[in-house]
Amino acid sequence: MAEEEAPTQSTSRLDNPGTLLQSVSTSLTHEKITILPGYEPDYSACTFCLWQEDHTLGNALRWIIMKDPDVEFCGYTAPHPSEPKIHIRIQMYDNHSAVDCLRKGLSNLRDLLTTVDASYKSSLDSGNYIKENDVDVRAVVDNTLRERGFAVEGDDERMDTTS
Amino acid sequence: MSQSNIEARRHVQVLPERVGNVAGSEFPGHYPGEDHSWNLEKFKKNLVTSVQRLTPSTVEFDLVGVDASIANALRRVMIAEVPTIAIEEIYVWNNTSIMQDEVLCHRVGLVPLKVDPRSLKYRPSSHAQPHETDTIVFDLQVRCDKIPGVDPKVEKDPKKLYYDSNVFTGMMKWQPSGDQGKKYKGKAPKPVDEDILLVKLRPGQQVDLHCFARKGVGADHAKFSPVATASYRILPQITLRGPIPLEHQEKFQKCFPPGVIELKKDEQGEQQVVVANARKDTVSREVLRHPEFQDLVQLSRIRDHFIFSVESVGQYQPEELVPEAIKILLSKITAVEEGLDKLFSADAQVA
Repeated sequence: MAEEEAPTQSTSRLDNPGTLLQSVSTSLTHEKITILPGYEPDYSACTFCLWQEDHTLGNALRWIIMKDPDVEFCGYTAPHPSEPKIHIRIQMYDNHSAVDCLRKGLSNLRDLLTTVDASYKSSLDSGNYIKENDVDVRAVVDNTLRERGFAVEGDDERMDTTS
Repeated sequence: MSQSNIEARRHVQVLPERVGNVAGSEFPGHYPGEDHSWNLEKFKKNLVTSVQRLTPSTVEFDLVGVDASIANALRRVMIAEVPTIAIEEIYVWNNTSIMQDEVLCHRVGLVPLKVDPRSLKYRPSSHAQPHETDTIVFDLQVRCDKIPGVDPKVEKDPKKLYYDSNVFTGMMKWQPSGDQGKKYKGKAPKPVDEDILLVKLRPGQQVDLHCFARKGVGADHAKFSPVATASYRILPQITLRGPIPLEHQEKFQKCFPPGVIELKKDEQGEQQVVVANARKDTVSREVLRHPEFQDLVQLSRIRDHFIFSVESVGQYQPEELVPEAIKILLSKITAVEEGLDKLFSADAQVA
């Protein structure tokens, strides 16, 4: 699996030589997730900061959390393009815990993706689709050139070998 | 709520000068008396994934029943986070070609390499010593010379005048280190295409490069992206709201790309306009420019029907890219969950 290959958890797999990420975070290590100041003591309204995540996870997570009927509000933002992090704000009805909601959202998203994966693989295994070769662009170009009376590279050599 | 109205919610309206009903609204509490909370069973029932076309380089598939945020996450991961192997560092021992070292190295770095990215690890840090588990070495040593006995006054073709006047990617030689020879038996690392021209040489010029290939992701540099393109479009739909008069039928047909609209005889033997294949439509909205058609047709798109088109550069088989992307998304989820565990175990210790 990818996790065991990735260096350390907090710096993540994006931490490659020459990345923009490195120049921003130099030697600091960041927690993957923190709760920003100003949260409700019972966690009924929190803003989470996810380090080294972007719209990829942010928007998907926002959508699945909004599917929870106990959620009053959920939104996310990437505060600045040169900081590799996102903020996810969750506000709950009836003093439910936003942390539990986030955990539930993550697990629902996992279920969703596993379902899509299985569905894709079964469609692929069914073999019920068009299988064909790629268009040979070079052959098409060469043919057009020949039709229009231009010399095609390689043609004379081929003639040489046959003669 | 009637069935037709629920169906209408799936439609993104395409109007002459604007789009309507763009964002999905199926969230809990939006429609009174309806349950739109997350339901895995319902999702499984509605989800349709159907591969449409597979070639050695591309896969096209339909993904129906997911939100745009999920489809977009898949697309983004395929482009920017599915890892591949590419040349990261080069020692230029010699380069007397007319191309500057850095320009040549940049070109060599962009060459897609046929190495299974799952067989290598990420380099632990940018200062780490290269290791056989995270680095693959290529040498590129080419020298151009005159072919003896060819008269340059008569022969002008460089290919017949010189040896190795063109340096191609196929001339890169893999240098196995450690157990790599055994590990890559029968699937030796090599460039995906062996006929990419890197630089041209003239007699006496030579290049001698020692290249280190590493594992990386497209977010770092586009050369690591495993897809030439990964994109989706939303399925177009054309609804005829009334019969098109006979005299306008051909004009109507010509408002769409070939194959979208067909003219067919109905049971009474009268020619009618039918939508044959809306999938082929480019949604140019040409039809809406003609006043005679304005009330007779409605253009829309099905919001949750995504038509994906993924073209692999060659490191992966095209059909492998989606499962790889899903694997990476799952690992992101796990990373956040572990972060949460750590956050609250730290909290518990403080308290």
